[in-house]
Amino acid sequence: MLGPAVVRGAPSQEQEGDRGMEPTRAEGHAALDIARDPVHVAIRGVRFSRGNRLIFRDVSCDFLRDRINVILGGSGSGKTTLLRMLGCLLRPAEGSICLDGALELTGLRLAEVRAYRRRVGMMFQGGALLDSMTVYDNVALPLREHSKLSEAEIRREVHEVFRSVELKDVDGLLPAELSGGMRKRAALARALILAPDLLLCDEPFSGLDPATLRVVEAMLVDVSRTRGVTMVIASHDVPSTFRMAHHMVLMVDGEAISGGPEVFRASRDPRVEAFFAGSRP
Amino acid sequence: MNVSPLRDLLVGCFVLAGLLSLAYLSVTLGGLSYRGPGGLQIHATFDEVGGLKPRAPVVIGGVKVGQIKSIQLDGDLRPRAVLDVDPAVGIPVDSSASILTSGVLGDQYIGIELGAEEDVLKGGDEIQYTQSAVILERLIGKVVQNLGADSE
Amino acid sequence: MSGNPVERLGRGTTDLVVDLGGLARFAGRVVVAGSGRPWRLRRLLDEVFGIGVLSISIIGLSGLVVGLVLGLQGYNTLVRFGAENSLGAVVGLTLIRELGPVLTALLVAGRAGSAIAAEIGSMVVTEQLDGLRMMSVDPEDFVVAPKAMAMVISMPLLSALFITLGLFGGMVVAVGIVGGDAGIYLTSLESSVEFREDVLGSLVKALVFGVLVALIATWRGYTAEPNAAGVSAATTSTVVASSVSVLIFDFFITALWRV
Repeated sequence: MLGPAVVRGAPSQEQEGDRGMEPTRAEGHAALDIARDPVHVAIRGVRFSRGNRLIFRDVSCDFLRDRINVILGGSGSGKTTLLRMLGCLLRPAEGSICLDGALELTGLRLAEVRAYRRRVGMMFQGGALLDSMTVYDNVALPLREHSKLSEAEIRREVHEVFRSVELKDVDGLLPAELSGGMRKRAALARALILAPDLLLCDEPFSGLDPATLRVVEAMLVDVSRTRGVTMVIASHDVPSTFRMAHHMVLMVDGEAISGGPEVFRASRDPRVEAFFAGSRP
Repeated sequence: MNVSPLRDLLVGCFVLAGLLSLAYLSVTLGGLSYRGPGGLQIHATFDEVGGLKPRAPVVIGGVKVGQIKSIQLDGDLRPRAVLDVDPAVGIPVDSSASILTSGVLGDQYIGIELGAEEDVLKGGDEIQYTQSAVILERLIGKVVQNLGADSE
Repeated sequence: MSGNPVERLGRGTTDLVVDLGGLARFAGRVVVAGSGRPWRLRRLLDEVFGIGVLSISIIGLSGLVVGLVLGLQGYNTLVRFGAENSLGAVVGLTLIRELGPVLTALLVAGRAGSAIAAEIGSMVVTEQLDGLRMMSVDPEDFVVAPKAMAMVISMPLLSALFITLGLFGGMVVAVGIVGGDAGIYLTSLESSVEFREDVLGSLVKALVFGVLVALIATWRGYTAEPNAAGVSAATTSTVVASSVSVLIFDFFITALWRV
């Protein structure tokens, strides 16, 4: 149980200081400087293949603390794979994924992975809610597993997180009875229930109509603003990415191109131009 | 949490029914049961028990009144069976016990032919008159032998 | 979980060994889950409902019909030797020693085993197991263990129900159809069945089959390829693998238990 203590101690302090700087950073947002900005997750030289297919040749990029980081890329480019590596669901063959400059994810043992995941929320593409349990039980599950809260306290916490994602009267419903947008919100609620400092969202906009997409987008922006959480979103939706992202990572040919939205807007890199194909705002 | 009482009730019924079935198989059929302390135990010594086994039925006039508890050799190396019979059935002291076979190849059991005495057997008593099992192979062997002797 | 053909071939041939490894690992997890908090009991009860209670009708009906058939066939054969009084012994020993546990295991593998594999497999497809992992909840503890445990509990109970209804079916034939005597049937039954050799052996078989089906079904679901074809393959191979291994283990238990 050495791992968890190390994991917990260092980042929380760093985060306190970081949050104090919030206003200045919000102002200076347009001129984001990666080198000076606190980096939450640093990925260096990651290589990964599935079967014979090389997915990551050499991926290096950063994800910024308390910001909305969006991973873009064509289908099969490895957006989800990268996200799953951040959740320790996959391990790269080579390279390093480093948290807060201190915690190396690629070398964690099982108990350390468990401790790490309690600080990470993940919103899966299809929601990944357990379909044999009600929405309420799904969202309450992490609390029941990892806290000693009473049922009344759990009820309060769950309803509070329901309010923050604007879900009402869904307690007794099964996940199958929810609409697509509601399922995304319930998944977001479950990912947020333990107040993570890293939130991973896999295709939060897939399968949504434009109006619902806007609602979910606004909700993610709101969560990022109010909760101070580092958000990493894998998405293929270009317009919403340019609206919400503070930092972007584009996956092409097994490599990552990263930078702020303004960098991508102006980029003349042929790979970037090929991906956006004129869809840049 | 969605607790459904009906579902739990059905699970309870299922487990209960399964355990009752298991109990029936083990106790009634498997012979774990003991026919109660009131069972009357009487002894019968035979020359030959053949295929008679413990828990074979003890029958009077075709009706089962008990079963064989054990079969062991006595001091004279003769097989001695302990019969566990219903004490409500008064068996006269001059009754006889025979080892019979149901059908030609069926299981063996003990049939008791009742005597005429007024006194009945008590626990631990010995049945005086016994008739041993008929061993089919020996019977056939004897017949063959006799046929051979005749033809000489 | 994909791989090149050689990897797949290797995985296919080592599946049995991997299953044995899974058995050992899983046994440890069952102990952990069993000593877990009381609401794991909640999940166990729900699984016993799904596996046991919902199998009662198919098991009961099959047991009854098998008993009827055994009664008729047994009578037709025995009456040629004038041994029709031993019908109870024939029906009873056949059911208790062999048909009860084996047919129950085959039916349960088809009905509940396939359902377990399909459910866990579809949880793999919809990332529900990964979802649990991301909540630091061990899916083997939360999903697999209650299902496997429920299977191991349900199998002997279902087998006992099957046998009891089969014995009743045999008696229906003995009394109602061929006009025999219930007392003779039961006497023959009771005097031929031994506790250790027959009833205990039957129970051991049912328990072992329960473990086999539980392990194969959960393992196949757990390792299903994350797509629809993968789930269907897991379901099919669960039924095939558990049926074959039930029959193979039946032979070995029969051979060893009679020593």
